[in-house]
Amino acid sequence: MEQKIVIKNLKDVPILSISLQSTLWNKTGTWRYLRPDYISLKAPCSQACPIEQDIPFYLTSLADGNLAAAWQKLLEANPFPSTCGRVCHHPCEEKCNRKEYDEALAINALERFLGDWGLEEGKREPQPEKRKERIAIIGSGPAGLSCAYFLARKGYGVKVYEALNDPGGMLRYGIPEYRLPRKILNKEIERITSLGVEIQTGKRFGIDFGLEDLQTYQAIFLAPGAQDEQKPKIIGGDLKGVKHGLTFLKKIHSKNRPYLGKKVIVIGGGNTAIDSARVSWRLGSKVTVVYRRAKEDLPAIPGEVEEAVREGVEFIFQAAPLKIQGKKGKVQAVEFQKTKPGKPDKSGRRTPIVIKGSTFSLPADSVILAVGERTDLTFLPAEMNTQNGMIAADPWGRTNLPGIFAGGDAATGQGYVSQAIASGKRSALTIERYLRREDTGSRVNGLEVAGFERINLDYFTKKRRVAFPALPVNNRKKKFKEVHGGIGKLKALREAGRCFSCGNCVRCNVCLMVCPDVAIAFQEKENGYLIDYDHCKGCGICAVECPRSAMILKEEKWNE
Amino acid sequence: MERVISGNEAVAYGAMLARVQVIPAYPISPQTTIVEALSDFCASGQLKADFVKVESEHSAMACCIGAASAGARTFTATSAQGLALMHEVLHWAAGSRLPIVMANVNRAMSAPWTMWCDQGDSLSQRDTGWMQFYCEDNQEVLDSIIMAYRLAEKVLLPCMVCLDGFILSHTYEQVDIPNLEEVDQYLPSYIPQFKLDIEDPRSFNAAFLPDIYMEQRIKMQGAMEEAKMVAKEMDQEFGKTFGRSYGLMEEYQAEDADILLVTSGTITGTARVVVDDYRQQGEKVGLLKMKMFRPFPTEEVRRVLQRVRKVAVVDRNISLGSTGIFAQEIRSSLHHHGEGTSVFGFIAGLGGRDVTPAVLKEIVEYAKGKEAPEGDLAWMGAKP
Repeated sequence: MEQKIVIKNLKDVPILSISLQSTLWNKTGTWRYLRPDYISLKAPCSQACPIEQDIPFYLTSLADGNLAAAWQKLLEANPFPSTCGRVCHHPCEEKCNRKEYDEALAINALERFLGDWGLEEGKREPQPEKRKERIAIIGSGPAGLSCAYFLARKGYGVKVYEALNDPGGMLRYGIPEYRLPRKILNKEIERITSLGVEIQTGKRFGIDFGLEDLQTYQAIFLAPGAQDEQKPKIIGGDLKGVKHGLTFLKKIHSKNRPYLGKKVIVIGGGNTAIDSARVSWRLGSKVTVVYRRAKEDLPAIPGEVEEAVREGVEFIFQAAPLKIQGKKGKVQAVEFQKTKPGKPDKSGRRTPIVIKGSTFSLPADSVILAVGERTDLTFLPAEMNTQNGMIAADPWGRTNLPGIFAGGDAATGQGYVSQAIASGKRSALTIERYLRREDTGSRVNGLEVAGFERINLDYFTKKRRVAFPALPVNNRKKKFKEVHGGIGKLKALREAGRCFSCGNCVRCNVCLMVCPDVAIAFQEKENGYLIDYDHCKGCGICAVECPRSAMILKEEKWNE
Repeated sequence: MERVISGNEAVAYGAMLARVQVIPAYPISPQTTIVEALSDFCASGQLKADFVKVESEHSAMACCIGAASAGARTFTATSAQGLALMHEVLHWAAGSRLPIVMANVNRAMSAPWTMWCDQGDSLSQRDTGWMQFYCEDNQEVLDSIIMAYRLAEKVLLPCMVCLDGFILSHTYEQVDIPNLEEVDQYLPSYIPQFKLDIEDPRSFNAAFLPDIYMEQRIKMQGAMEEAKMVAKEMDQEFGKTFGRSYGLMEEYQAEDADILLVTSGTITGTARVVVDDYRQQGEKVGLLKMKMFRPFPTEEVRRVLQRVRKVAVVDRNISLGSTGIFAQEIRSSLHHHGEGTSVFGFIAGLGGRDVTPAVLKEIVEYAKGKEAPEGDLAWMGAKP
């Protein structure tokens, strides 16, 4: 490095202040008392995602037009992008920082786009190196297959046992075709089996085989789901024309599509109720959903409720069934009582109480009861602990029996698809640790969340959220056609470009350009660039200007 | 080509003929029509320059500094409060040794609100390191802009060309507009000694510590001294090429004068008539026109004034709490050198008040009637 020039004569003084050589000899970094560095914070969307997908991580690649890389990153986090891109309740969008600025990013639509792109391209993940350990999984729903996927990716041998004739669990039997085409589901499952996962269908655990038949496996994951419908005791519940939501939906899947008569009443407010209502409407009936609480209490996905309303399904809130009236053994009407909110229950929701003398009656040709599902626990080994009608397991899937893990609806009681996938994913990691004799205890991701106040809006312009197509209502009845369409590549790239990438460096070069000391070099690190601490004075402009809070300023501890 | 144009148009023609490359400018009366004319020239393609609309005069000068640092021939124009707003960056332009040329249309400073002529604006900027010229008529305005570039680019100091607001800026006179080829010969393209260049990256205007700052000022002062000599040569060469020259100053009937008026700007034109009147009556009244104010041509002024008994300096400005600013400079140039010369200081024409032949005659009569000045200044044409 050049040495400092010492000027001794007037004639050597330049006429203006101009460097005569490199000034690298001047280690201005020693003036620093603040030290900038790159960090990764958690984006609010990722924080909200049950599957803990690093959403900005794959959207950055998508925005760059690198679909293969984006797809790869997505698949590292979620085995069911095309499925989730259709049926997930997408809490990510609720938390999206962009929502505070213009409109939330259409994360769900982008996930679907990338997932479908992978399916169309026939993308396959690389075959992992095989390990000798084998794991048995009970149930091929989203939890079971998710666990199978993440274990298979690590090379473990996985066999999945399914009681019904086809794999998929609730994805196949609970969600109607117009929300999730079977073609898509089949392809996603096929991609999982291509990793070496074996699925045996038509084998019911506890009846066709038991724990004793699984001795050759080093670990077992129980994910039987909540298939057992709650059948409320109600006068007239045995009349012809009374159906149960999940059973009804399963029949639809088997192409046996009955006409339910002119008027159908659906009782319940969960996703099964809304699905049953919309299926009945597609079969030609006029449908009314009756829910005992208020509209804002509906547990179903709001978007699904909206579509049901658009299709002409009627809703009556705050009414509870009293009895089903019949004639000659067949349903004729349902008698209801109006309700009002009572005291809050354990979950904080107010239990409805009936208002005396408020009875009213609605005519009906069929009644569908859809008031919830629970897990059939009768198959469990006697020594396994249960809790609240579910398998007692911690968030990491550990039960009281070593080597036996559990997840999904049967263990968590959470009803969304993404929550089941998340449970399978967490359990897969626990099982891997168990097999490696590592600590299976709780894992905490301590990353701070990059909230809206940490986004430097000066670097963003307002842009409309992408619009995606929906099938006109009068075309929806035929063949249970998918209601929502996907978006094309151009729209997807543009939408991905709206992502703030909260708390994650996207190499936008702002820090590099604003550094008055040219102390940030182009050389890329895992996140961010190389900082020349010999010359960084710690002015902090980079960290303050960073559009997405991917930089931090810390006090410089020179003495340490 | 002879044309009848306003002083502001003369400025614009001067800049166009100098082939300026970047014009960051912000409008202010009475300068606005300069900016308008230049933007028209740029729009019509007559002048191939980047016209940069800025949000203030401070930004205009900052932008000039950027453009000039990158090696562009740069021009702007302003007036009064606009010039005052530039004050901080005027120092930067000079200290960075950038040959920026700026026209300042002289306008009195507010408050109170005013937009008429006096020199209070440009003379407030006398210590910023800018060279300053004051013009008598529209022809001189045009010629001075062209000369200013040649001078500035030689000595590497910025240069301000001043013209009286409305009296020149908005008054139409016959002006000879030189042809471009001749101007090109007189004023070749600017080849900067230092410029922002990614092929040769350098740090500009970094801090000078106490061990070196003073030497940089010594060099700036040296450049100012050099400018007097260079300006003379350039003026002579301009005369050879275009048939007009002005000098750093001009003596008019000064050779044998007993009383010598000292003027600047448009008062000079009026003074010529007054001098002629006195001469016709056989009275030895003469005139010294000051064109160059910074650098101040001390030696030259001294040589003329040493031989005169009474000097009447007419200042269209005042350094409040002191005297007229030209009077200060002239007194200081005579210090220890002109014991026989009495310097009378007069303040006249502030805020656009007319300085008529009658006012100038009153000044001459005042000087005639007194052996020595009673004070450092006398107000002329003011209400009793």
